[in-house]
Amino acid sequence: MTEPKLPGDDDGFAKALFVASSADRDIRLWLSEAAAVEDKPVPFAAFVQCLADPESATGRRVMEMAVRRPDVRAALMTLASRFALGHLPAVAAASDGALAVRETDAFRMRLEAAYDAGGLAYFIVERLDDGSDMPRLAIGIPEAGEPVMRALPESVDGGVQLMLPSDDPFLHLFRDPDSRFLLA
Amino acid sequence: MATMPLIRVLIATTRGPVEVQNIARENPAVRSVICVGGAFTALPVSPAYDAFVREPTGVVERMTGHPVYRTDVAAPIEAGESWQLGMFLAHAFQLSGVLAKPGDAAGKTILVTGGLGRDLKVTPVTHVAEKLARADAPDQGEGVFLYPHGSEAIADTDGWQSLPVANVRDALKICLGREAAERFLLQQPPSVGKKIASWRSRLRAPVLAGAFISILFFSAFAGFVLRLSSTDNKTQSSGGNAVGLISLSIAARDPVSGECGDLVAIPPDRNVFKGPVCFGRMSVAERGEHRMRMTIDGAFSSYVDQSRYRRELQRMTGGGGRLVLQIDFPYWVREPVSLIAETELLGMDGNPVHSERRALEVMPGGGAGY
Repeated sequence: MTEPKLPGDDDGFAKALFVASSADRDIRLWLSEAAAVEDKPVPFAAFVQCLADPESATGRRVMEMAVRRPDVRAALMTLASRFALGHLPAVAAASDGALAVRETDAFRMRLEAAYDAGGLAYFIVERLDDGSDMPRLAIGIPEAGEPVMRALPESVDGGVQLMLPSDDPFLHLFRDPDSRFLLA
Repeated sequence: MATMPLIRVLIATTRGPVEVQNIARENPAVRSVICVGGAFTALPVSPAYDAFVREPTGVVERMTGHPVYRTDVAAPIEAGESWQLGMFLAHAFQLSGVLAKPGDAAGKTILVTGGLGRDLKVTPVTHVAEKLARADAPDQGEGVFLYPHGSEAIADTDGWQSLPVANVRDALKICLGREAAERFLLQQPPSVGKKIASWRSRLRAPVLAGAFISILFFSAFAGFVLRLSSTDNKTQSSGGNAVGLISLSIAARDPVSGECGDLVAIPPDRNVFKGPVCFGRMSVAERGEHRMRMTIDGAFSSYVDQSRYRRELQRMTGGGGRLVLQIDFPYWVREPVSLIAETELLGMDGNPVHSERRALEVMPGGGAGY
């Protein structure tokens, strides 16, 4: 049995408008009357906004919730995996056990030490092919344990750089050859 | 220069002055960043700052010889270009050892707004008067407000003497004094010296200008090679290699702390070094034009951006000065790597008339386990 056609089904603009208004309503609900409820469901639109711009207010909020709530973390992981620009699998162990470069055909991620070695390290993502889309979220997934996510700043030239404290768990994951990464 | 009073640099913004607190050289493998007060978050203006620093687009590397910096400021700087003149001056003062840090007693405070072109001319910006109006009088020392020449004239206010500047030379003279500014400018590389000469030529009668430019250009060139010589003082003090064209030195990395040690000269007959290395440095002193190249090669080359481990320089030397080229080692690699230093002395026609190559096998793991 086929579903009956509804008004606007053949109108691409109407569809886009419906999706936009639904997403808008979704977010408004989440941000307004339901805001005080800690374990309220997170709307799909908020996940999408988080992936599109994790540094936005909604994006930051979803990421904070993902740290605290396994259900939000799992949903964000699923979505990020579905729309990831790059999958960087576990790698063969580096000779000194301290991995500093991971690479696919499209992206290279690398760690660079600061001259002031005690304080911070630089995490760099570079686009290697001709594509223009740059990830806004890097997710490190350990062999066992919880993933660690970091929002990436917007890139204008195919390169992104983050400064991280030298004891940041994301860095530990990066250096662990058994962990894998998603760029979404 | 060492006895000069410290200068505090404030970038004038429409939200109030922003102090340049610290400038630190950073790993050339990363990009320059501006951060607020030592935080880990780079301001959105950082990509523009990186382009402002690094050659060939930038002007700071041309002055300091280093391509990457981390700069800490007291408050966010918004997008735009009005920070450029102040940031350039802060780098110049840092290079001269007179940039005041938080807590330092400054003899002078400069509040600056203005863009800066690659020709080191100050470019116009908006909201000049508004930026001055947002600034309180300096806590200590003389206060000077520098803004682009050609803007609407700005009157002095409480604590601030307002002065228009057309180029970096003007600004340095105001801040450092005429003699110190000239001394500083003469120590800059020829490419900067050329810009200075071109400014001077517009200020003098043509004949005098021609003579002056010649002297200045020659002096700037001499200053350049002397500067290279002085920045390589560790190499020279460590003896170097006076036998061939190339003097080769390395700075070992402490395997425990990871800190870089002093430069150690590698004699010509030594071709193996056991232990981790921070960076290698080659220098040539033979008068003439050289094409120098340093590369680090090894198994790791297959999975990294090889351009990061290859550096080249083609430039003239003379008058007892040195040309210096330096390359960072991949700190994470434990397998043996080869450091190769090559130079060609070029003839008048640009073809090599003499060449030399030195290779050093570096075993970061100390030679065991491979």
